[in-house]
Amino acid sequence: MKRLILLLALAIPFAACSEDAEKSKWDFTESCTGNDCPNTNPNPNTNPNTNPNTNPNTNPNPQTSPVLNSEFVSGHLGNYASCPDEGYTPDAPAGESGGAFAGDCAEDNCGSLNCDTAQITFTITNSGQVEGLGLEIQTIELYDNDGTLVAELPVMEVLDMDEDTSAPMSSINANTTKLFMVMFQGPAQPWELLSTDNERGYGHSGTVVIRFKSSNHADFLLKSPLIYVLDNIAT
Amino acid sequence: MRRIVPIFCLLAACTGQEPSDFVAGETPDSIDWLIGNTSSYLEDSQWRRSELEASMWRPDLPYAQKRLDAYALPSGGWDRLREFNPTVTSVGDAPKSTHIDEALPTSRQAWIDLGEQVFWNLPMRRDGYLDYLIDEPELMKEVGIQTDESGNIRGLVRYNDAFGKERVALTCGFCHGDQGIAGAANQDLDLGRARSIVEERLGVDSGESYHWGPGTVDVTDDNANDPVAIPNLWNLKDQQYINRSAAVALASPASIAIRFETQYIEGQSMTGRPPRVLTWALAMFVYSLDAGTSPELSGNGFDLFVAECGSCHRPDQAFGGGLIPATALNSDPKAANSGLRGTGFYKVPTLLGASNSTRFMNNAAVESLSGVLSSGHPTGQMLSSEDEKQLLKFLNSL
Repeated sequence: MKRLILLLALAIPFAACSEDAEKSKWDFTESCTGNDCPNTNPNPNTNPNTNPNTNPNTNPNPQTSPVLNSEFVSGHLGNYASCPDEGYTPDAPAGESGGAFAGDCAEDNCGSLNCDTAQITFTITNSGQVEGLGLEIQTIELYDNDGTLVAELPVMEVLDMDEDTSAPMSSINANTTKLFMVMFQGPAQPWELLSTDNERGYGHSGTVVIRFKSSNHADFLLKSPLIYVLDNIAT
Repeated sequence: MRRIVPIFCLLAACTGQEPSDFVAGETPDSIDWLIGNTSSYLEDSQWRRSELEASMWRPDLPYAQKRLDAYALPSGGWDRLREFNPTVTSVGDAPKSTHIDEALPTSRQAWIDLGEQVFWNLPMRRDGYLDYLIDEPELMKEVGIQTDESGNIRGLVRYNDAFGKERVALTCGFCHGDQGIAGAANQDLDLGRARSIVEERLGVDSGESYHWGPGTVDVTDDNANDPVAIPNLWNLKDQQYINRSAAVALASPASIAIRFETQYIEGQSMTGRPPRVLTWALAMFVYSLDAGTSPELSGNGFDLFVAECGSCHRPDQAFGGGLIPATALNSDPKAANSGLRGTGFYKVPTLLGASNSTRFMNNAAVESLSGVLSSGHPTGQMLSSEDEKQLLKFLNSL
């Protein structure tokens, strides 16, 4: 499958969250309304199976607008143990810390042992009667298990998983569900970035929120369940 | 004769969990049960969900959470992944391409045959270091990787991943196909050493991260060196748990199919899922495996076994059993206490195949049965030499 580099990624303001920066807790009210908002449960650990993104869009006139929502399929935070320079670090601009991320890591998972790019697979459904236009990923936010925003992770590329020949995630037809995968720069040192007092063992997990925008639909969100660093040995 | 009765077992240290809807020993045949529930597994996500939940008896563990968060949900989740069943090519002197037919088998033997194909051919996990090793026959030999009679590496395949990139992946047979015998653990396989060698070549200092030893793999990313022995896959029908730390209960034969399905998903970095007909067939094939031994269940050796070992290693449970607290053993408890999949217990492993084994205990630290008896394992330490001889004779018949 061909890949589509989402140029948007390079245009995203890389809001690196330094340790000194004020971290924000789960708070989605500023950028979403009504049923588009994700569950604001402060402890995502206790809410594993309730995907908050299945709520129908409450657009008052579905006949003239698309009705868009997104649902989580799978994902992980990558594994940068053998290529720490490829991962996200809060103290370096994404373009620097991941200088090769759009090249080496994206092409061959860095060609090393434990080196996998973070990714999330998701669906976007347009249950309306009008094509959804201008679809883009605005941001990918990473929250720790206490619900604290710890990073805005740079998008690398988006793949259309339904097409033999990929098409940009720029539009979605009416009454259609499509499968996408976004690859992004995961944390190089998750044991530091995601460490919380409540973390059990060495799980290195967090919750990701993807914010989408569309030119003819309100912004909408996808909140993942807890996702983890990819195992060194998955078995 | 002086004997130490393993009192801790009698005090219910060896516990077990009754399967939810499948009673081992009462359901006549696990493979028949699987065949009879084929449509449920293939078509009913709620059924699969309930079977998953029954097998995840410690839902608080991250290992379980990952699966409970993603498998057989009402919508979305791993069910929505694309099916992934690539054409594979064996690696070695006589490359041969194989594509596993997904047509629904129509007989018991056809199911088992399909499962055998899956066992040897479906890419379970891609491991980057294997790309380097396949061109280094001497190194492969050094780390216990085997070749078959054709000169192909046993259990290793090339394929194109979900993005079309050529990869090398191991199949079930790589670790559990010693000398071409499906189900037999390759106890010489030293994947930690293999990783260290490759990292050295890449200029990465891995320190002691991969000092696991032959026949073991560290399956937990918990910042601890806690490898566990690669198990034989004998007589699953009589067992209650899988994984050394017993993270998965065999609540029914479906537990193992779901275990395989989710294992393939993780092994492919969650980019696809295997067709369920293949994992269902694989479950049947693995349920068909046994050690091929015929121990005599009478005589002094057997009586000694029952008295000394039988309360944990139960003859009616493939000479294995339920759970034993890690603290009750004097072997390394780290894997049982891992934050990711540690239950605090080890499963009591089946002793079937012990006669052909060179690694014993959860971490493969003991290399002989007599070594087990003399290493502080809670049995056999005070046997007379004649009784020990009789007990070892029986153990060597398993």
